[in-house]
This record gives sequence, structure tokens and C-alpha cells, in this order.
Amino acid sequence: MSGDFANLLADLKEDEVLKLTKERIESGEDPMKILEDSREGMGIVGKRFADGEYFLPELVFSGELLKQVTELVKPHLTQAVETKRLGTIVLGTVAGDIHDIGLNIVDFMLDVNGFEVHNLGVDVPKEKFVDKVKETKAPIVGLSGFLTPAFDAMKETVEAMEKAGLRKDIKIMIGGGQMDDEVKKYAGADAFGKDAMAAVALAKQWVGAS
Amino acid sequence: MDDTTKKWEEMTWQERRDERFKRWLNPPDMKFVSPEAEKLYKERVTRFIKAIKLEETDRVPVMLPTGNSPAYYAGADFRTIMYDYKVMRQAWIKYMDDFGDMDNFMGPGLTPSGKIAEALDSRINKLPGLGLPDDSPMNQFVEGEYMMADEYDLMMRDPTDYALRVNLPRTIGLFESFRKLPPLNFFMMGEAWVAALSDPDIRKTFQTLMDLSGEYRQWQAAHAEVRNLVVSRGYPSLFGGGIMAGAPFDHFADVLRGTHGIFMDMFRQPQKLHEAMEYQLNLLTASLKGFPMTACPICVMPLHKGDDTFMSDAQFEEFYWPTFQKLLLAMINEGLVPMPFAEGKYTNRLKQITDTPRSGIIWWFDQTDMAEAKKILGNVSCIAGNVPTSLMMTGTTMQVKENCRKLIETCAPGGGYILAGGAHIDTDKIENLHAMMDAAKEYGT
Repeated sequence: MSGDFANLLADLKEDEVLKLTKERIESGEDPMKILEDSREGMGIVGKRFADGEYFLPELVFSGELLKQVTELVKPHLTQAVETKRLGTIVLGTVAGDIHDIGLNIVDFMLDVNGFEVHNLGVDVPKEKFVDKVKETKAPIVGLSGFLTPAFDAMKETVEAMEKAGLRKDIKIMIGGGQMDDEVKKYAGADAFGKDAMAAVALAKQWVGAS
Repeated sequence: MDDTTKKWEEMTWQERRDERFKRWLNPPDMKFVSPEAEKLYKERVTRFIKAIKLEETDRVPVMLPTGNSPAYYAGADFRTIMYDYKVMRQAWIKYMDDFGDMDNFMGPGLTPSGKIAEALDSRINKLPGLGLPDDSPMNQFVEGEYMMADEYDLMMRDPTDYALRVNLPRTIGLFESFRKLPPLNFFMMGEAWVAALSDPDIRKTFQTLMDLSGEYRQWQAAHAEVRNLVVSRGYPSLFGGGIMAGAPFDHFADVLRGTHGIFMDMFRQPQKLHEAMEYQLNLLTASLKGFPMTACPICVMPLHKGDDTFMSDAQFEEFYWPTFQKLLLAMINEGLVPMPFAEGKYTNRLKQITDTPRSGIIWWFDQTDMAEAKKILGNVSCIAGNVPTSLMMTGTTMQVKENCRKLIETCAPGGGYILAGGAHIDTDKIENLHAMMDAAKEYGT
């Protein structure tokens, strides 16, 4: 049955997934098992996205399904959910830029792929990135930006990491609308990722999990 | 019957377009600063017209991505020219004086009035000092769910009422009071208006609007003057058709349902979304009837959520293209030249957008593979693009020139190509804009 559940979720069958979730809860099944199956389903979604079978609509809709399943399951959890994480990532849209569509999709994909993500939101001052890296000891930073003013803001954020003595311990990736390898060089980042899956691949590579 | 006496309804779309091209070539009441300026103006417009018609040109035309860079070149910034129309005027004149030969020059048309923007208090369009840092070189849109999932029918029942009483109060602070307006229907006659305006909040909204009219006239006059100055010096405007609405899908995805909302609708209520897009298409095509003779027939249409990364081929085919294609055809039929600006990547899309009349459209590409674009669209549509914005902003003149050379070699043979930037640049990088012009002259003849 668990395989069915994961596949129904991966196939985005909303009604069936929710119905089955309720049935499994009512039958007294361990709610942790339902969450594990959901994670397996999201893994399939991620793979289909990477393979070019799924695009953003499927990705975002699957996230919505996961959210609903989690909400149904939550009241029945007896223990705190603890999952082993691959690594920690600090993520945010750089100062002066208020775009968050791509940011949230990257956050979501990193999360379902096993990373602990600290999403600082939009228009994040460089100091805030520095503070968060110090606090979390995250080895990876993701800088998001959509428009051209983000070029300089990214550069300044990378420089702030350098100044704070953190640069040598972290890897920095950038992504978003007008970003590319030119901007990566300009900003002094380590990599440019063209989409959410590229971010996952880079992160896995950097923590030695790929 | 002679062509010139043919009635508009009897003309083919090409004849209608030729009428609009004539108007573009011969701007009425325009006093050029010199016969030389007039001659150059006509040469430049002709270059673009030939490119649109997929004919060989004397040299590859260039659409420079100047954006707001004149403001920065003059030592000012975006925020300053939103408030100080004199500085704006001087900046644009200085840029023209200093730059020299350009095939077109964008006016400051996308710069709103700061005072008006302050009073409007938009929640969806943020500006420097108004939701963005003072030194921000451009505006930014805040996406959100401004129309709820269950409001499609409400909107289609009466789009005007919906816009005024539901959408405006959600998106623009000044119109918050419009929530309290009675339904704007047939019964909204005579006294009902007086009654509505007896509400102090509603009255305040109208009073603010009236108080802004003087500012608007100043802004409008300053912009019209710069527009005229630009043309009088021989630089055509390519954006004189006015920015038209984009694809019906984006209409809902960008400003009404938002990315998250539209994705939900694609799965949960696809039929409703289709119905609403058809409805929107009909509104748009109806508004095209008797579309005025504008300074230039090109209509820029920014496209967002149909690109390679947003959706699959199948989703584009189902949700994006059908209503957008019909809109393009309706515009072409009126003699207009749609110029979809395909933001992001459209390489996968190319094979899906070939079914339009030959030479009817200019496709302006941002990050699309231009060799593929030439191969697939070259015989159908004029293509424009796509020096990377990152290169324009951070590269050297040599790198820009080299990039232009490759683009010209790939796209120019046989005609139907305009050298353009992937997007506008908004800082002072005049040397890289010069490099683009130089490249067209050196390699594009």
C-alpha cells in the first residue's frame, strides 16, 4: 500500500491521496509511516522534474499535496519528527530585490531532498546572511536574485562573507532570472544553478552526498 | 480602385499595416531639427520595416537596450527622474547629444510620476523609495493572489465592477474605499452617486484623484516633449504602439491569481481557467476594433510564464498558446505588429510558435538559443535578441562586440533580424551600448 500512496502523490491525484491519508489515520496506522511515504512520493516528483517530465506546475502542486497530507497527519503525531539532514543551507533573495517565486521553489526542492534550509526571505541585507551563517554554521549559501541590481548586491554579499572570515568555509551558489556564469564570476560566487534541481545537485555535491 | 481610397474594412492585413507604416515613416506635424535628421529617421524606420518584412536591409538594425541608462549617464537616477521632470528631460537630451548614431531611442515612457505613485500607494508595483531602496534602478512587481480561486465567475459576470470594487481595493491603497461602493450596475444612476460620495473615505479617494490631475498634466507634458524631441532629432520610437496586454494566461498568472494560484487552477479547475482566458481574449480583441493610428505600429508584449522552465510543451500547447495565438492574429489583422518579448528561455517553445502569418510578428528573445530561433522561425517571423544582460552590465566592450558578431553571423543572413539586448540595462554602461552599434556597422552590412 505504501508504494501506492507514494505513486498517487507522485501522480498528483489529490482526491485519492487525501482520502487514503484519512483512511490510514483512521485505521490507526503509525502517522510517521504516512510521512515517510509522502517523502518517497516527493522523491519521485523530484526525479520526474529532473528528467524533464514534470515542470513547475507539477512541482508546486505536489508541494500543496504534501502540505495537506502533513496537516492531516500532524495532530496524530506522538513524537517530534526528526529526520536526518544532509546539510544546512542559508538561502535568500539579495538586498534590493523582492522576488520570491524562484527562491521558494529552490527552498522547497532542497527541503524535500533532505537539506535543512534557512530561508531568509527577500531583500536580505548582507549582514543578515553573515549572521545566519555564523549562527547555523551552514556550509552552503544560496543567493537568489531576479533583476540586474542583484548583480552588485550578490557581489557585496560575497564580499561581506569574505570580510567576516567565513568565505573559505562556505560554498556560494547563485540563481534567478538574469543570472548566469558571467554574474557568478562578477559576484565571486562558486556556482550558478539554472533551476531548482541544479541547486539540489550542487548542494549534494558540496556536502559529498551525490 | 486605388489602394489609398480603399476602406479599412476592405483592406488586407498587409495593406492596413502599410498604412500604419506610412504613419510611422511620416509622423504628422513633426518638425525635424534638420533635413539630415529627417533623412536618417526615414532610413532607420525603413531598416526596421524591412527587417519586419523579412527583407534584406542595408545593415542589421539595432534596438538598443538603453532603459533608464540616460538618467544614470547624466549622474541622476531613476528616483530623481520620477520626481524631477526637468532633470529627466536634460538627461535624455544629453544622452542623445553624446551618443550619436542610434537606430532607435527609447523615451522615458516607463518612468512613472513619483508624486502620483506615492498617492496611489500600489501594493503590486514597488518603486525606489516606495517599497524599494531609494537607489533601486527599476520598479519591481509583487506577485500575489489578488483574485481568489472561486472568483472567476464573479469577474466574468461583470469585469468592470470586479476591477473597481474587488481588485483595485486589494492592489492599490488609494482605492481601499472602493470596497464600500455599491454595485456599479445599471441602477447606479443619479442620486446613487451622491449617496456613494457621502462616505468620507470614498470622497477622499476622489478628492485625491482630482488633486493629482495637475501633477499628471505636468508629467504628461514633460514626457510628450521628450518623445517629440527624440523623433525630431531623427530617432524612431519602437514602442509607440503602447504596451498592450500580454498573453491571456499571463494576465491571470501575473496580476490576478499569482504563480501558486494559477498552478492550482491548472489542476483543480482547468476548464474555468480556459473559460476565463477565452473571456479575456474576447475583451482584448473587441478593444482592437478601430485601434488608433499610433506613432509606431509595434506593440511590445512582455511574456512571463510560458517559458521553457515554467511549463511543459504540453502545458504550453494546452494553456498558453491557443488564446495568445488568437490575440496575435487579431492584432496582425488590425495592421499592428506584435512584438512578444519572451522573457527567460523560449528554445523549446520555438517549434510551437511557428503557426502565425509570415512576417506578422517580431519575436524578441531574452535567453533563447538564437541559432535555433533562426532555423525554426527564420522564415516565419522577424527575430530580435539577445546580447545577455549580464554581459552588457559586467562585460568589456570587446566581449560585447564579439557576442554581437556571433549573433549577427548566426541570425542576419537573409534578413529578418534585429540586434537587441536580452533585457534593458539601467545603469551607466554607455560604452557597451556603443559596442553594440559598432558591431552592427562593422559586421552587419
